Parts: sequence; structure tokens; C-alpha cells
Amino acid sequence: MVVCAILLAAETAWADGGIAVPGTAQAETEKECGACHAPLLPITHKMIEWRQIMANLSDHMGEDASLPENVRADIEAYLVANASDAVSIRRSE
Amino acid sequence: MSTRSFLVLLCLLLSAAAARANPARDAILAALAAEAKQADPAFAGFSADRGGAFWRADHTGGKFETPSCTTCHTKDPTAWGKTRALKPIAPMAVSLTPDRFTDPEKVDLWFTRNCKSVLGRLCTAVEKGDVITYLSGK
Repeated sequence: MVVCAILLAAETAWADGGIAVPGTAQAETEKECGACHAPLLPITHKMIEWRQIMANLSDHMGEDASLPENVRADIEAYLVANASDAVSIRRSE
Repeated sequence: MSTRSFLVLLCLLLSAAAARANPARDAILAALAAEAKQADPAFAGFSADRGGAFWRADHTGGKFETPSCTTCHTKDPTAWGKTRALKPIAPMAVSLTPDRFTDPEKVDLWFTRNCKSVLGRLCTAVEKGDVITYLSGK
């Protein structure tokens, strides 16, 4: 309980596998994904689906949507941490 | 032309020129010019005309759906374009979207993506500089 409170209060939360989700990741997601299309909410896909999508950005619905690796990783962490099947620790809003 | 309309015109021209002069954009163009000079010592500067022709041309080597810059941005740089996912794209003309070509990372990201889509390769420094020069004058 105490641990949860500390984690939720922290700037970052950890997705499955211990990936840190930076506090800026949501804004990065809205900016980068929203540059081409209305960004989908993380809850619209499962963790594995987000990982597949974010692993294939060079051919994203037929478009090259490649991103610098640091930005790509932040966005994936945010999407996975808030996916429809993400468990336990969620990023506090 | 009356004095008044002359002054109005002068102010419009000056403000348009002011909108286009931007240190960040100049730095991006300077870096591209240095790269172009390194690739070809005979490089003699960017050309808006060449940039415009490149912008309008149908290219080969890229994706079938996107043969040209104009596929998404339209033939008129002052018009709004549309991404293939149908999101509006603000005009590329610097007079209408003054922060165009002022963020080096954004410039790099989009030239990389779009040159691959349209030409199936990266653009050269000359091609990028020409296009930026063309759109800066629009």
C-alpha cells in the first residue's frame, strides 16, 4: 500500500517489465501520433498490439512513421502501461 | 497609386519579409549549404525555382500512392494539405505558417519520412535546401 502510494506519487510509473514511463510521454504521444491522425487512446489496444505497432513504425499502415528511438520508446512505454490489458500500476493522471 | 495604398503595400511587404527572416531557419539552410558544398564543391546556392519544380514533380522510386510532395500538400503551398489519414496539414508556405523549417529535428524527421515515401530514398542537401528556399518565398 505504501509502495503503491509512493509509486503513484512519483513522476514515473513502471509498466510491465519495469519500463519507466516519463511524465512527458503522454504529451509526446499526442504530438507525434497526432501529427498524422487522431491519436488513439492507449486503452484501445492490448500491450502486445502496441508493442507490434511501435516496433514497425517504418511501415505504419503503409506510411513511414519512424521516430527517434528515445521518443519511440517513451511513446511505447506510455501506450503499453495504459493498454487495455495493462495490470496493476497505472500512470497517475 | 495613392500614397496611402503605397504605404499599405510597403508595410505588407516588410511584414512578409520579417516573417520569413528567421535565425533558426537561416541556421538550418546554412547547415544544408555546408553539406551541399562538401558533396559538390561547385555548389552555388539554393534555388527557389529548382525547389518549386521538385515540389511539383512526380517522382519515381517511392510509394505508388505518394508520387509527389503535392499528393498530400497540394500544388499550392499556401493551401492546407491532408495526411493520408486525412488530418489537415497547415500550409507549408512560410508566409502563412511562420514556424515552418525552424526546428531542425522536425525538419529532419519529416524530410526523412516523406522523401522515403515519395522518392524511396533520402533527399540530398540540395533538394532539401531548394525546397525550403522555395517555400520560404511563398
